[in-house]
Amino acid sequence: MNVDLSAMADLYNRTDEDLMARVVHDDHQAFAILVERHTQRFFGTAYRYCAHVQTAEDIVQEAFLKLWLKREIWDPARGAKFTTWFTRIVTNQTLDMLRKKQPESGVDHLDIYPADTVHEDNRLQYAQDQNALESAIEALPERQKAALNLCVYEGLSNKEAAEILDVGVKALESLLMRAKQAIRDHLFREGVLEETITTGKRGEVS
Amino acid sequence: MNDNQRDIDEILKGRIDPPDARHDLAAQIVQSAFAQKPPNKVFLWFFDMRRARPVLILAVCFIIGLAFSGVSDTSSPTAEAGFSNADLLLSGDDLFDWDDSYF
Repeated sequence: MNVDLSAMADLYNRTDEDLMARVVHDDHQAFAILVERHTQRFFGTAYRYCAHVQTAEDIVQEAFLKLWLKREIWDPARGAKFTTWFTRIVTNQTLDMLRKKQPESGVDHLDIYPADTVHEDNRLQYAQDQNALESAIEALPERQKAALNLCVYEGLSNKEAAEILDVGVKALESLLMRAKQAIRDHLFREGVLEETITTGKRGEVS
Repeated sequence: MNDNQRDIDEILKGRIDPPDARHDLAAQIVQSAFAQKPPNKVFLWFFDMRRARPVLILAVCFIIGLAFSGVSDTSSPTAEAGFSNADLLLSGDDLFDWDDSYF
């Protein structure tokens, strides 16, 4: 493949939506730039559902393959943001895959430490708290987990998240509220929340 | 927003970030995407169940209809021998046209 460097530089400066418009017309370079630009972000999206590196990589790969093979379904006239649209694809891909199979070797936990300046005891406590939080999120029903991930970690508005999950905004808010309540109850049972309230800051738990 | 709500929001914000993806993941995705053959449109059409369902239902109805029709008689021994079941029925005259020598 001949690579025109000035054209490549021009493509790098284009928005996601511009690149998608080119991808629809079989532009390989535009697709490559989109993948490079967003792989890490959407790997993170998938990882937050499954907490398993290999599964998250498979999910993001499948989602981009789907995008390439069905690129004609992108409709710029609808004015959708690429990231919101692709978040929907990744979310659906993730939920489908998790329904089909459980992660093979469980959840990738630990190796979770705050900055080196924090005392060793606090680092251990922090890791335990993080694992408790991951377990609490892991135990959530599928749709509550999706609502939480989309609104809290993907930074989507309630309206955008509601569209992705095919529910109304009120229903989404209800899912979010129940998710947070369930996490709170779980952390209370684990004794994490009370300690956090006392000190008010993670990583400084006594 | 009450205190509990604020506490849980703080905790959620403190969730650890996901690890980094493998450094060559993007390259691998691009490579495997370009290695894919474009899907066969007829194949896609047929396996889009929303459209294929009526076709499948009609096909099943046709097969059931075929199974219960007389067409299946063509596989019977009489048909294979070149005559129909009706040919085997003896007329009244035939039945009583016995040769006395039998007795």
